[in-house]
Amino acid sequence: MDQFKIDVSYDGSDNEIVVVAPHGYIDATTYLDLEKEILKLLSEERYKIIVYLTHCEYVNSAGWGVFIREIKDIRQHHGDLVLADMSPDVHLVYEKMEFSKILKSFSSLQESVSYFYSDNG
Amino acid sequence: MKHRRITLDSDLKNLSKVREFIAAAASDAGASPSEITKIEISCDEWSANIIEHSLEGKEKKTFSVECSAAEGRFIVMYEHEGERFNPIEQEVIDVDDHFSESKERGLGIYIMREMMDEIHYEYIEGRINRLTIVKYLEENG
Repeated sequence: MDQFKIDVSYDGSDNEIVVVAPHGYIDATTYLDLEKEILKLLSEERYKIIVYLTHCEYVNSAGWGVFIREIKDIRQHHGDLVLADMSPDVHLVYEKMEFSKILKSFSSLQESVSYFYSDNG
Repeated sequence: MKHRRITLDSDLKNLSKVREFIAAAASDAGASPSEITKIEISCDEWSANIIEHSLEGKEKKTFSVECSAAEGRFIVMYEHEGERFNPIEQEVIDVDDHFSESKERGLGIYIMREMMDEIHYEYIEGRINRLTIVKYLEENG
């Protein structure tokens, strides 16, 4: 199995958009790394977060919990956490479990960046 | 397909071994990629539940997984001698309420119940937890 890792990059005129890109499986062995990264961003008052899932093969319940748990706090700070470029397997759970009612998703990274440039973000 | 069985130590490092074992068996049974995903996700949730909760602190820290297929059904049977726990008795959750109430457990079981077609729980001989989960293989016709 490939080593799990998370890449973090920035976008926007003031680097205010953060792109978090997990690689590999988000399961019970790795979700804490993701949670740590998200909480670190929030402690830095970064509230425009894109989770770029193109390299992520799988998200378990704990991983979905990381995305959803902080969403109200993020939106109260006029930000959002959105998902971009989910694999078919990840998207299957997103749709089946109706996480789409809670989390916005975009089919590409560019679309998710554009969302934050628009009035909505 | 023949019955396949593995027994593993209760260690989160073994989650990937279970996923690989399940995916290979489901593929051999003729499951579609979408069905394999649903089975794999369900088994990952239940494996993690056993390792993190049922077998935590127990003397005998192994669990077994057995796969079989018959009449268009793919069947996975888990057995362990840890804490008695019947997932069928758990309340169906509302995802939005679940997180707003800061609940930590229950979503994995809810995912498993949504992804699989049948779930059966038995407590045998006063020590063995057996969970049998079934996926109907329909998508390949």
